[in-house]
Amino acid sequence: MKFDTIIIGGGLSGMAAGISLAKKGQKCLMVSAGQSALHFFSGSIDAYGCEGSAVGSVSSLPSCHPYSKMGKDTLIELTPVAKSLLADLGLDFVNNDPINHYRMTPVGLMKPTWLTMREYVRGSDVGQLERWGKVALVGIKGYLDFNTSFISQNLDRQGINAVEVEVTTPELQKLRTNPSEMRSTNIAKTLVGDALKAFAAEVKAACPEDVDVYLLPAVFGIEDDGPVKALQAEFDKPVHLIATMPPSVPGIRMQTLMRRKFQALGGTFMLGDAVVSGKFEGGRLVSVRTQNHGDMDFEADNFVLATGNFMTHGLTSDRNGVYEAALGVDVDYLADRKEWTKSNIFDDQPFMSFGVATDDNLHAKKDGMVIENLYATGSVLSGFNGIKEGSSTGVSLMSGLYVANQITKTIGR
Amino acid sequence: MTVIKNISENNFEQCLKCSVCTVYCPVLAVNPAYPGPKQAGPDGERYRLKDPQFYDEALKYCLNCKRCELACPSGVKIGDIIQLARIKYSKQRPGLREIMLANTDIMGSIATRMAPIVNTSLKLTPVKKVMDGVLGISSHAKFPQYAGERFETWYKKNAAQEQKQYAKQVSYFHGCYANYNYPKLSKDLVKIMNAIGYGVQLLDKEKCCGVALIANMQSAQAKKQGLVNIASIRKAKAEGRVTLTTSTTCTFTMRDEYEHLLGIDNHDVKESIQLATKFIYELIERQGVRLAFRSDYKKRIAYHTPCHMEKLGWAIYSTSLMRMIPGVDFVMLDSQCCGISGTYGFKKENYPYSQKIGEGLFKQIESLKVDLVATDCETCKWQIEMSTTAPVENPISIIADALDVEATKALNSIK
Ligand code: SF4
Ligand code: SF4
Repeated sequence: MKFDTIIIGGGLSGMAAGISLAKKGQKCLMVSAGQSALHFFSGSIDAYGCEGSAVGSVSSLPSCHPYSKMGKDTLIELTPVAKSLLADLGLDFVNNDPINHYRMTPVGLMKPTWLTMREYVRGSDVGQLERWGKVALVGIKGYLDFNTSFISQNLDRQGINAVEVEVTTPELQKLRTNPSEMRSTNIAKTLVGDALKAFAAEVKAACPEDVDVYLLPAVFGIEDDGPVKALQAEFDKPVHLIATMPPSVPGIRMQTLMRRKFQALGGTFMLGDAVVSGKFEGGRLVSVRTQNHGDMDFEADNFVLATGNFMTHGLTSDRNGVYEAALGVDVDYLADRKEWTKSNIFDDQPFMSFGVATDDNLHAKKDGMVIENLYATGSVLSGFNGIKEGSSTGVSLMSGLYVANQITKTIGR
Repeated sequence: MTVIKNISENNFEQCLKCSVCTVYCPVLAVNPAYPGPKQAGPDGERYRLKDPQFYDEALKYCLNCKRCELACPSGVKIGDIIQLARIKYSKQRPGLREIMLANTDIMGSIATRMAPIVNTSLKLTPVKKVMDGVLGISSHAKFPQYAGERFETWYKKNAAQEQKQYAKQVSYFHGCYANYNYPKLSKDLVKIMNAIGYGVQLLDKEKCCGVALIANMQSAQAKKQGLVNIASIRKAKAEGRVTLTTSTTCTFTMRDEYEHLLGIDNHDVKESIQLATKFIYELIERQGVRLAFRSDYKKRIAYHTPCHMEKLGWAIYSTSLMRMIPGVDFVMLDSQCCGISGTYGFKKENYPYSQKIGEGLFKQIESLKVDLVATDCETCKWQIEMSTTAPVENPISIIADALDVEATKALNSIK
């Protein structure tokens, strides 16, 4: 079976590349072994977690960093492309460009970030939240992935005195029949339409009348942001959401909207299948095979490897080495096994920067040779620690777009 | 250095507890009495391994749709873990209803002989009331009609002789539905295969694949039938014929569930069990086979991916074939469970959940204003026809209807 481009991996990076290429009229196939890391999405896309300008930090990064490889000018060029891709999906992200703003973590701490979904709590500075006046912090009875007392303690440290309330409705009580599954996504599926209205009424009844702002867990709108808007419309004061522990409702919304867009543009999406081998010939990848399709060769002019890191099994390891799981392309890692980890878990863990070796255009390598039609993007790349830096979503989005551009340039050549 | 690997059955120890599977379980979203894939699967298994007392009969609510497995980023065979636990630990025994619903071939052979009576009486209110009250079969569910003549009977009378003239041959596992309820599907397959120069043979012995037996706590019987089927498929293979199927559920059961749930060794014939659309697509791509379509066939068709098709990963073959028909305006539906899951939706206690699970799909179908819904599974067809205004056909029937037989024969130099 023949395609223009085959994308291996269906998370943020693969989708960014796939949607961009499908928009250009390419016939694309995307193979996704299970759901992606977007299920852990914070509600924000972090470019680089520093104060001030994120793109500005590129100049000080080591040359092996994906941002350095793409280059500052390219990143600046891609910024509006990234924003319009998200807007096109119906995702409403706000920013404070050219400098970072702050998002709130599930425990109520403030972290620098680049783009945040409009409904989320954000601040242009850590202290900005003070202007809120009287704050109601609303928890849901039996829902354990949103800890209001942690959050209120941290709000207190920022000088905000929040009133904690806990609410429930008969529909939510029914969900609690299954205590272990009283989770964000099940709540989001329940709180729509009339059930959402009844919930809003309970919130109003439980809070003091003179509240200036309501803070709620981000458990609304799994398919689109309709329920978020419907909820906000029930109140005459601002309603802001705070990220919860996973699974992330807004992340799943984003995943769903991207997958739909990709398919609407004619892309073929295969979930639950995995690329198991590739045929390399003369510095090119000719075709790949997958778990479900036996000896069927999926051929393409270009390939994108966007399978993620260890967590999503894009990378695997044993005592002897670190490997790229789908195609067995080259991986950058430390030869000495003892140096892979540091004993303090909060230290910068070296293994987090292991990943697929690429040239400056993000071409992957096999046995030391650059493969000219195979690109690597997102968390499978080497040279950065996305969690420590606060850059994983940014690298994923930007490298996906970057690679789509590279591929578009080769067409017609 | 010896590397000690900790590999359990079904990748159970790979579970990261990420909860991604729970997001996509169609049952959990509508029925809080079901513990959900994570709890019923890898989490519960940990306890069950310690003490079988931890087995929870609520695992019967699992549809075995495998959508949790598709979603799991760590390759945990959640659905298999759940079904194996049901087989191993459940103390519930099948009642009359489970036996009736599960033995589709016995029921089918009685019913075809009395088709007009059965078809009418299954629609009568008093009969439905009795089924509902006494048997616990939902009075809202519409039963598929029985045909007056089985496919096998028709084949022996009208087609068997003619098949011998073709140089190339395949075997066909028609399954219960295409035998008792909808022989047209089988005849459609014969029509297409003949047009591209293949004769179609019945298997030596064909039994119901057993999917409903597994779901209804009769896995020992399922295994007996499975062994018969695999022996027949093996014999066909020895004689140089692959075995084609037109139902994703039978295909998936024989290729995967036989091995994973029933312990039947089928590794030597697995690749010989082929969904007809996949087989035909490969002939087109690899052997230069060509199909010619009628110019007056014009339809807007939406494709619904059955859960087991999603798990097989083969929807692309059925959809690619339909897209080859020039007069087809093709729409892909969102992949979601229709809620029937074989006999599940026929049971009174499951009926409301079954409808609620399918709600999103039904709405999407109604909104798209299509002439036909295409799907490769007979039970999805029942559910969609019962719950929407759209008629439903198997892609094989669509291709057969649109096919220009004479032109196709000419293109492939078949006399
Ligand atoms: S097989 Fe289907 S019904 Fe059963 S747990 Fe998995 S997703 Fe839920
Ligand atoms: S998705 Fe897989 S890894 Fe995650 S909780 Fe479910 S079974 Fe475990």
